[in-house]
Amino acid sequence: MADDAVIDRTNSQRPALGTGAQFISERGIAAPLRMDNVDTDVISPIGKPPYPGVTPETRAFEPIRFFSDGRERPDFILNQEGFRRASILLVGKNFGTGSSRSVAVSRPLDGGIRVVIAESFGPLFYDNSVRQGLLAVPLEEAKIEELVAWAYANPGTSIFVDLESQTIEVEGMGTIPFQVEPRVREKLLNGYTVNEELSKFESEINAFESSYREQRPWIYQTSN
Amino acid sequence: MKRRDFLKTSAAAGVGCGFMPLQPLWAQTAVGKSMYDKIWEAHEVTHLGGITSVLHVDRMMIPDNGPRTIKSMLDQGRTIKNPELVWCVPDHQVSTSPERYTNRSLNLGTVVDDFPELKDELAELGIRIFGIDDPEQGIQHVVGPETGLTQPGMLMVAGDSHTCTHGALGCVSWGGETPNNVLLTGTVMRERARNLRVNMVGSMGPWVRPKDLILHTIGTLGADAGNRCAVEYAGPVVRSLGIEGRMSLCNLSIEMGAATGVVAPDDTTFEYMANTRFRPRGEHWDQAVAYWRTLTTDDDATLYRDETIDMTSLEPQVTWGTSPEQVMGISERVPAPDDVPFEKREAWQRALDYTKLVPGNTIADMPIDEVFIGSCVESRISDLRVAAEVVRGRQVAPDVLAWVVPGSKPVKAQAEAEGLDRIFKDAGFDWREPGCSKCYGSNGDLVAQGKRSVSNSNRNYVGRQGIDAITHLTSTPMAAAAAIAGRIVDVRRLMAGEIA
Repeated sequence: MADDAVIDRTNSQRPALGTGAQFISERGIAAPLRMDNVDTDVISPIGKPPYPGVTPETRAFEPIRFFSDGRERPDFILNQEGFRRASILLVGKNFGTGSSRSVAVSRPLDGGIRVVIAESFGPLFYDNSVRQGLLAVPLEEAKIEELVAWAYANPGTSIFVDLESQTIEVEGMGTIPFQVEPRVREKLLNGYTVNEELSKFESEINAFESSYREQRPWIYQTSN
Repeated sequence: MKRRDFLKTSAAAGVGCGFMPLQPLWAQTAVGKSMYDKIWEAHEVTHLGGITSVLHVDRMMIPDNGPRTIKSMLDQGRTIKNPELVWCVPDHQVSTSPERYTNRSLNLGTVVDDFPELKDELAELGIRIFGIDDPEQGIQHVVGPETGLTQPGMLMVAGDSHTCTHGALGCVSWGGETPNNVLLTGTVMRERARNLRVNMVGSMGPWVRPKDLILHTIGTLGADAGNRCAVEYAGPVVRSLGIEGRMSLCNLSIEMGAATGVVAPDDTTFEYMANTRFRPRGEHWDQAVAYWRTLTTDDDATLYRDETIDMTSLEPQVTWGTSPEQVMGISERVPAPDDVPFEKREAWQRALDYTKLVPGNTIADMPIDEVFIGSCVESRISDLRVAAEVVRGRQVAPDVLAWVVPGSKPVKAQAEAEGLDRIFKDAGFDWREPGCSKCYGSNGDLVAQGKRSVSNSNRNYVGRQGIDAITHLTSTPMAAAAAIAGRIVDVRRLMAGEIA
C-alpha cells in the first residue's frame, strides 16, 4: 500500500489558465469532506485578505480550514493526520455551488487537489473544473459512502482514479466505474482548450450564422 | 501527448455534473417542447453527442476588465466575431462611493472611461461599452434588461453567475463563460439541462415580495434542486409579477443549483421591452413579438420535474443559516439539527455555530449591525420604492450601518426624481453609486469582521460579506425594517405600528 509520503501525481504541474489543462489519471489519498452545498465562497473567498499565515497552497477552504487568526481548525479533514496530503476529495451534494470565480478550482489545484468525487456539482464550478483540468466525478451517494468508510479505515492510503477507463481502483474494494460527458473526457484527456474544440466547427458556425442573421435580424441591431 | 479525433463521433449519452443518466430530449418521442428547449434548439449550431452542443450566442456581456481582454486579442491580430453582440458595463470592481468620479483611484482595475482611445476603438467595432461616467452604468443584470440589450428568445452569456437573472425576460442566460472563446467564435459549448418547472399558485400576502417566493422555493426544494436543470417559473403568481419581480426569481436560480431560470414572455414582457432603448424597431418589432409569443412551454412538453407551491400563507422569509435553503418565515423558530434528515445534520449544526443562533428560539428581535439594500436581486426602482415606504418618517437605529446601493444610474436618477434618496438619507442611510458592493465585498465594501448583517442580496455563505460576517437574507422591505428597528423584525408588524 502506498504511504502518505509517496504521492504519485501523474499530472504534477498545473498548466496556466486557458492553456487547455489536461487530466489523465490520479493516484492519491482520498479525504472525506462530507458536506452538502460546499459553496465557492468557502472554497475560495475573494475580496478579503488571507488569514495570517495562510499560503497559496493552504488557502482553499480557508473559512472552514482555519480560524480567522490563522490557527487550524482541527475538525477540517485536510488538517488531520493521514489526510493532509490528499489529492482527492469525497464530498456531498452540490459541491461548488455559487459563483463563477475561477479560483474556486485553481486554489484547490494549488493545494494539490486533482479530483473531486461528489453526488452533484454546482454548474459553474463544474464548467471551471473542465476548463482547468480538475476532474469532477459524479457518483451515487452509496458509492461515495463506501469510499468514505474505506478512506477512514485506511488513512494515508492512495486510490487510483483513471479517466481513460472511467474507473476508480480501490485496494480491497475493487473497481468503481464512473461516467462523464464524452466531450469532457476527450477535452481533459487531450488537454484541448475550448478554442481548439470550437475551431473544429468553423464551417458549421458560419453556415448557422448566415441563416440566423436573416431569420432574426433584430438581434444584431445594437446601434440605436 | 497523443491527440484524438473526437466530438463529432462521440455518441453515447453523457452524464454531466450529476450522477443520474440523462436521456437526450431529442431522443424522446414527445412533440411538445419547453420554452428552454425551444430557445436551446433555435441556437444549436451542432450537436456533439451526449448532451453537449455548440450554441450561437446572441449577447455576450464582458466584465470590468473585458475591454482590456479585447484589446489584447486585437493586438494579437485576432478578429472578434459578432462584435455588435458584445457589451460591457463595469460593476464588480467599481467603487460605490460618491467620490468615485473625482477620485478615480477608488475604482479597482480598468475604468474604461479613463482610456478614451480604447473605448473609441471598441465602439468603432460595434462593441457597446458603458463606463462609470455613462448615464446607463450599473450592475450588468440591471442594465441589460433596462436598456433592452436583453430580449426574449435570446441566448445570453457572461462570466458572472447571476446572469440567469435575464431569464425573467424570456431568454436563456447563464454565467461562467470565459470571454475569450465567445469573442473569437461567437459560440459556446454547453451541456443541455433538464426541465424543472415551479408553478407558484395562490396569492401573495401583504409585504410578501418575489424574493420571499424564491427563498421559500429554495427552502422547500433544496439548494441542489436545480442540479442540471433549467428552472421555469410559472403559474398565476409569476404571471402577476412585473418584470423586476420576475428578475428576483430568476436571479436566485443559481442558488438552487440550476443552469438557468426562465419565465415565459407575455404582454407584461412586451410592454417592458417596448420602453427600452435597444428594442427591435419598425417592422422588426412586429416580427420579434410574433416570434416571442411562440416561446411558451407546450402543454404536452415532457418535463423532468413539475412542482407546485402554494404561496397563499407565505410570510416574509429570513435565512437562519449559511445556505439560501436554510430559510424560514419570520414568525418561525430556528430549527434544531435533530429536526432534519441525518445527512443534513452536520451542515445544519455548522451553520448554527456560524450564525450563533439557538434552535427553538425565534429569529425576530435578533440585534443586527449592518443592513445592505442593493445587488442584482433587488435594487431596481420598484424595490427602492417599497423600501422607501418602510423608511419614510423613520430613523435608522443607532449603531446600525445601513446602505442603499441603487442597481443602476437610471434607477438612481428615477429614485432621486421621486425624492426617495431624501427619504433614505434623512433616515440615516448611505445613498451610494451603482455597483455590486457588499453583496460579496466588492471593492472593499465589506461587512465588518464578525458583524451581523441583514441583506437583500442572494448569498449568505460563510464569510461572503466579510470575515466571520453573518448574513441574513431577506426581501428589501424586511432589510429596511431591520435597519429601522436595529434588529430582525417582521416588516408587517413594523408597518402596523406594533413595533416601536
